[in-house]
Amino acid sequence: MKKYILIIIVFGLVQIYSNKTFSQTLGGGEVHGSFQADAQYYNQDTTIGADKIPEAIAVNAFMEMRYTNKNFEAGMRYELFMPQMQGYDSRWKGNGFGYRYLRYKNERVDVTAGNFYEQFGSGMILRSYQEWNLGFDNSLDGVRVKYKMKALTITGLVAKQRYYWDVGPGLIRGVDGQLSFNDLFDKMADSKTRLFFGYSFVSRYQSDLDPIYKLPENVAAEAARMELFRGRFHYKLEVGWKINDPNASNNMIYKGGNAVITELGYSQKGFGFTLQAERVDNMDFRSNRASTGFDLPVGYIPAMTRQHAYSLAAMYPYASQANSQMGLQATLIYKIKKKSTLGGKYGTNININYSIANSIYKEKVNDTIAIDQPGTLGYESNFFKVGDDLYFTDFNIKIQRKLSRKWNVSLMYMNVFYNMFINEGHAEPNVHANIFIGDFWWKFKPYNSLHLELQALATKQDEGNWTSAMLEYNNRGFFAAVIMLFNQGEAGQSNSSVYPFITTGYTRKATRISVSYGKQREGIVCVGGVCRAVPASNGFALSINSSF
Amino acid sequence: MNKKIIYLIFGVFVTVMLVTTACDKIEPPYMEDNGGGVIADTVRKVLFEDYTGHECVNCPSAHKTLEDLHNVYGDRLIVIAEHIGYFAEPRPAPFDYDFRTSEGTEMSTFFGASAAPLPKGMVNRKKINGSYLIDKGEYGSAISLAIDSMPVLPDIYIQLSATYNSTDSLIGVEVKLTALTNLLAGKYNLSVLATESKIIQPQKNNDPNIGNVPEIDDFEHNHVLRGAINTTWGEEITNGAITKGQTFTKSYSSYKIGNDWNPDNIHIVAFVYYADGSNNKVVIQAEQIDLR
Repeated sequence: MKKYILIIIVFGLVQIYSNKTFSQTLGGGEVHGSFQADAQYYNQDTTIGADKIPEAIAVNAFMEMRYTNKNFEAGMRYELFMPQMQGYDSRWKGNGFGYRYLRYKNERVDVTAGNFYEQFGSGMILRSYQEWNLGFDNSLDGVRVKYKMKALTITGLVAKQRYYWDVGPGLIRGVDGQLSFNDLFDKMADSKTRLFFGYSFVSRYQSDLDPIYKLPENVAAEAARMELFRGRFHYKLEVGWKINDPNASNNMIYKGGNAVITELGYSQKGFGFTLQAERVDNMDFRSNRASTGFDLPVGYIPAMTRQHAYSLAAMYPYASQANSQMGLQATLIYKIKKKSTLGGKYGTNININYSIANSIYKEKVNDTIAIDQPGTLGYESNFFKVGDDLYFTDFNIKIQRKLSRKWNVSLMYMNVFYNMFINEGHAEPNVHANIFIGDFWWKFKPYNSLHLELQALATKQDEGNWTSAMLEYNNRGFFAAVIMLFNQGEAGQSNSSVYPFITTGYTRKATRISVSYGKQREGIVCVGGVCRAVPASNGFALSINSSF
Repeated sequence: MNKKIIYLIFGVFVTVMLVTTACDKIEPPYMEDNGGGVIADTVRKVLFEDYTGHECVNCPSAHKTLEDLHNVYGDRLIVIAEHIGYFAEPRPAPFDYDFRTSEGTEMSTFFGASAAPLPKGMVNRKKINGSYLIDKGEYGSAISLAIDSMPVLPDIYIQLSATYNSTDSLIGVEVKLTALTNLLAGKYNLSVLATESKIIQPQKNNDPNIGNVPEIDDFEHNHVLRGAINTTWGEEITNGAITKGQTFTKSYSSYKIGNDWNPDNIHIVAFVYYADGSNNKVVIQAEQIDLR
């Protein structure tokens, strides 16, 4: 009964908000905002390992409002986890205004007091962001000043980091400068070459109360970056350093850290490629040296791998390893011309991607100190030597072709290697998997389409083979889908599972509502190499998004 | 051109200023010289609850941190290892030993540890930054805060004595409490628990500096909670104010040890805590003795 009451309440809320899907004016200023609510009813299901929760229903909801008036802006976000949905950290449980700020901005100066998100360069030494799909928010709470000149923008900030409903113990001070050479030198103003240079510096202060280790209270990290664009080519390079930062993630070693990320790209109509390389050595940087996992990261080291959208392709995602990682990624896109033998009437798009991630090479500092021994320099590393542990590889090719005005087909093949210990922390056999996907769109009437998605994952490890089929109907803003996911189970064991799932929803203007019922498998959700484990669930779910 | 020079000077100035002021380069030796631990019983002692499990790969390194802290604080640090939650569930051999206890499960559920990723610790059952549970990297600073920032003399002095009757495997414990200061009116409880060390059983591990990865076949499990001698949350000693010099004596005579426990490795842990009010559950003083 409770769940039906909840549904009625939430639908009522949607009615209220969806009636106001445009900006409001208030005292000469404007109000914008958004609302999101996700609710799930949990049934016990021992066949897939799904648990009930004492509250029966879990709800995550957010409402954000922003008021702007000329140069002034103020905003806040109300957040509710009552209780948090399964898979979200239990420390989220609660409700309140988790984010609020005041901001003044003109052409030169931009000042923010309160919570804010910021990123220096690629985020290597400072990135604060929010990603509710991961239950992640490390917004900064303090003061930020940006000063913009013609060629140079300087950002300075002093803040603590959000830590669930509190702030972390470390104090973050940071400065970033972004310089445009084309704006600096008159001769380069009209040049085909565009050149940017950036430098950032971040320091964390955290007091040392530790009775065992002599800990640095001020830990500094620096990064320098350049971006070059010429014609169809672009090149990016970012290099970072960090001084000694013994912390829980690096096993309390005193070695400095460093990281390099570089990218070369080319693009023209119908053809493009990107080559990326990354080496990261002891760069896990947080505003609390005792934190691990999701808690209080200051720096962000991206995973140099493709983020897949298909559920079985995303089954074994790579989790970025900020303390030891050497990675390469190459992507090629090519469009076979239309009205050609191979390309067909509308042309054919081919997208090939390969990525690999390895450990860095480590050797002993001397004969008496073991690698990664706490309270020592930990290890030495030859910059160009690749480590012994393979973390991840992914080769994937996707071919997409519009067959006619009504038919569109995508085929994808993927081969993945997944190091179980590195990515999930438990020692089970590493996974080698082949994944096949066929995706078919049939637009049988104007505004009416059917979408069939067939997926198969073949592996001898972990939970064995998986297959999935989804049929979706779309009619303007309305959609309905049926998904059947089947796990054959581990070889030699009769533990197969079926996960049926149905969902339907409607989008009107800026509001989207969807309801679903069924079983969802246990899995891992990753965004940008940051991953969260999601337990299996069985039950009814409701989701609402609205902006105004 | 002037502007460019200003940019340059500004940039160099900011860089030099920050790089030279906002970082602390530590030179070896990296470890503090702490001498040895303290051995006395009229000093303030800290109860540390180590939430662990035999399938928890990061737990051996947390135990190592506790050993290092024991070298610093000696007997002032009293550890109870509570095997709880998913990582403590018995699995196919060799991980079939069940370290769990009903009391440990009940207590860890109350403190939120049963569903938390392990290892986690808890110092004196006192919240730090709004949470009872702390991560491995915080053990040192949290224990230091509980010991070094407090007066050495405890508020209550605990004298413990124990007997063991090998014929019928019964433990007897006598606890004498003496208030060394005045304590405000409230409920005060005494908990008496049994722990055991030197239990050799396998343990998952991911730190090659501690032992074999991914499993240590003959891991020595120490301070493992075996059970509560006077129930999970102990026994009330008074509901009122405690005055300096006041004493309380409690005796327990018939606690039977388990079939596979070794009486030579059993410790008796006793602690007094606030049982109501804003400090509810916070430990005032702890003590530990060997059964024999």
